[in-house]
Amino acid sequence: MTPSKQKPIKKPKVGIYGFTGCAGDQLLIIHTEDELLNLFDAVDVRSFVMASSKPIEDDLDVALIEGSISTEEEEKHIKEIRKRTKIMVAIGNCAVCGGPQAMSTGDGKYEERLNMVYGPAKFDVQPIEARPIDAVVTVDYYLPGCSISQPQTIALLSRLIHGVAPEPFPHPVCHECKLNENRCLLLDKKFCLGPLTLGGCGAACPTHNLPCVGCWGPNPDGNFKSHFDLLQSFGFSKEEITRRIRSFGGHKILEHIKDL
Amino acid sequence: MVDSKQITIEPLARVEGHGGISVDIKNNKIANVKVDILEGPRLFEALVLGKTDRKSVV
Repeated sequence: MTPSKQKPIKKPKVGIYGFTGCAGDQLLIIHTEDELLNLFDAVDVRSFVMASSKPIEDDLDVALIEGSISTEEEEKHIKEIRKRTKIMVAIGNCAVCGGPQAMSTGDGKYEERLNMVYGPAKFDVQPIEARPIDAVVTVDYYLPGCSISQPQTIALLSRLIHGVAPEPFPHPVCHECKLNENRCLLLDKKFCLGPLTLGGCGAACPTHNLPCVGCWGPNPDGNFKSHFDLLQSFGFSKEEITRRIRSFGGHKILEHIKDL
Repeated sequence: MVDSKQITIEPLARVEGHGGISVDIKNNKIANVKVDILEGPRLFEALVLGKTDRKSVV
């Protein structure tokens, strides 16, 4: 009997890129030791400069992008990657929301800050105000977090490798906090942003008695007005709440709080 | 034995951040080494102004 000729399943071509950020999300992918070999076996990594010296820049099936767009060159580069990848995933708070560097984006004082930090320095590459990548290109999927979480990352990549859309995770931090049976920190009038923040972190901080700082970015389903009122009833001023929620809310949070 | 050559390593891989190295060789001697580390501006120095250590960023 002649053996049937099986068409080998083509491994998806993956590129992992970093823009302006700490590179922690790229590093986390490398730190998935339990799954790393399986991951590199299941995909064809074309470009991942943190892991390999020989990047190949051609067509991709999936591009994972970390970091905010903070220079003109980065704006060009992300558009160039978008043209040659089927799927683009924003990974990490900087790519998803703009990151801490975007906490003052839009206040009109960018040039002032730039001058304060760099003075009369001449730039080889022109800096621009930090923005999430979806301010420049269309993003297909998001993997928020600062840094991204290992289980959530592997789950998303597994789905993409099998050609299926990743499972959305539209739950706030409170959901995971409750699953851990934590006492709610809001009962003690702590400044916790859990209800307004996307989950996926396993409510790591509240589980260790630290109020959530919102590093997974805004929960689009959150009741922003109600939570602002609650925090103000604890004695926090609106300015303080806005400042602190923008630390990781970055640029993306503005659409949720602009009418408050 | 190399009279004149330029060696460029771009990008500098397997490190955190973005970088490149360029080495100029003239008359078999290294004439110049340039290391380019490009990190996008985050301006934390300006973002933390006016905040105490407790109420710094978060």
